[in-house]
Amino acid sequence: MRSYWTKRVLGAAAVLLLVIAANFFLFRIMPGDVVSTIVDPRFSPEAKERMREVFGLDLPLGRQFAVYVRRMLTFDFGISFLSQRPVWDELKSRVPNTVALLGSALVLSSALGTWLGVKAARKRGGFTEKVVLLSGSVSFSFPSFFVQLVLLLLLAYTFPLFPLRGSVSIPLPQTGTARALDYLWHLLLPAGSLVLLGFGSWAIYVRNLMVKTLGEDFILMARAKGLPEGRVLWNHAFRSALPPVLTLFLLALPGIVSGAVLTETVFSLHGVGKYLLDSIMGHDYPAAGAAFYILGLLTIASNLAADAAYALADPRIRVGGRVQS
Amino acid sequence: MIAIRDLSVTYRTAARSVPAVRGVSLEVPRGKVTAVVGESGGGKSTLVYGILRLLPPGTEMSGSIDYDGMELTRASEERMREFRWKKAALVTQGAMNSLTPVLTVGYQVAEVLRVRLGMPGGEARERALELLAMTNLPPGYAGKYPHELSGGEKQRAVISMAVACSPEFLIADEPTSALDVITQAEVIATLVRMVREKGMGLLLVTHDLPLALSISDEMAVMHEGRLVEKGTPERITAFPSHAHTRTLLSAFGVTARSGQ
Repeated sequence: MRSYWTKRVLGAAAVLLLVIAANFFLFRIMPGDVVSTIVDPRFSPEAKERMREVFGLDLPLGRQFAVYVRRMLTFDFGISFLSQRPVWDELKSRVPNTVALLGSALVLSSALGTWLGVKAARKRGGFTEKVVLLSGSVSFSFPSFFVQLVLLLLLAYTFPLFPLRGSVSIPLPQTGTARALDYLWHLLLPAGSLVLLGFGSWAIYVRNLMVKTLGEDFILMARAKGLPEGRVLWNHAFRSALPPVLTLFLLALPGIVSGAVLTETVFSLHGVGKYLLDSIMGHDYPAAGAAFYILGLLTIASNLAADAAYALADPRIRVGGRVQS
Repeated sequence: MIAIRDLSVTYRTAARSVPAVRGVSLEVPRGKVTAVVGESGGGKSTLVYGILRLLPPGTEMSGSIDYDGMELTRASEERMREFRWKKAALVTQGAMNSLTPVLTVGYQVAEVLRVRLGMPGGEARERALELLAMTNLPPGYAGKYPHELSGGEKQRAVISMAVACSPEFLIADEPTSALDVITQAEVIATLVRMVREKGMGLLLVTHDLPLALSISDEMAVMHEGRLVEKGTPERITAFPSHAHTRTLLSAFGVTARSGQ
């Protein structure tokens, strides 16, 4: 048990270091010169040199990296090349939006997918199973931004039920309740589109797991015990299939980065993903690096949480062969 | 008494149909051990799951299974659920993984008591410990998960669970397969003791002829879906009437008249 956690935490730390290293070196081997994008090409060479000094770009690469690692770990992301404001100040307001979008999408699509998957497995060849298999393959075959653009066109432009862009209305509504509702209204279409794109693969995965589990001996035994079908299905079958369902969480998490960038860009949301894209476009090293770093942190944290959930769900991990009373 | 009359069971798949049980008649009285012996694939398990009506959907059943005036082949699913475990409980094959891997043994025994007998949670947990103790599993085992138990311990836990609702019948399907010889003897001793103590009827389905001969009051030999021979173990050892019985006897080194 202890070694399980030591391994997980060390693994997470190693991944974090890799993320930082990739952030640092990738931006420096990208084509394009940062100074030339923020200053006029007609600036004197002295002025450009001065600029490099201000941003610490004149130091040797090794020194730059050491400084970089320390600053990442203390959330000191420096000054944005573009806006000249501290990067963390700009990111702080965006993190909750990204967490709300991806969190709600992940929770809702997994809940809906799980429910449909279990229903499909119970009635093989039934209507639900056909819907699940079809919706799963459809959502696999459309690029997310295309579906999202079509949704925007239909539900925000042709039939303006939802806002076209943004995370909140401008000007902001006065009362707290109105603000919360306004926020939800803006969140509904982007999060809904992610649920629509995501629940199908969940449902198929859960269905396949449940079909396998329902064929196990202990399910036959649970039925022989005369337990109600709902109890057999959820308490015995689903409960046993839960650990691999949680691994799907692990597999879904890396999708967070691409999901955030694309969805926030399509819906012009005030989030980390959109900030990341804007920063890359502007060769804004500190800003883009920090945005990558935050997304990386989110992914690593969710991975650890999924590991913890897996251990809770599967006694074979939690209590190895150990005798307990 | 469970009285099976002219029971046939046919598995149906899209491509073909496979008759597994053909015209079997058998009586399983309370308070006695009835054994059905035969080789694997002979339809023994199908017979067991037919009585509990736990065969895969689409399987065809004809004939009748009468339990105290209730016709099991045609009873509603609701009444079958009531019948299962309270009237007839199942002890599965030793090789099967009959315990849900993510729930503790104690929980699984208590669950049956709570759900089937409506026993309150605390009382059910207490009673579960007593039931486990009856099969010589100390209280510490209630908190264990199935993967922490040996094969014999698992099988004893299954027997504890099977007697939880004081059923009138135990149906044991190869309860000792895949267990080592000493564990087999232990499990059988536990099973027979429980049956004798509570006056339950035991339907023992096995390929182990010497076992059936040694513990049953009445036995039947099953071959290719049919019962080819019925009688007391003494009668069957002394005067086997069917060629297949003689083959079985000699395969196990038991020869007619010369004794067991």
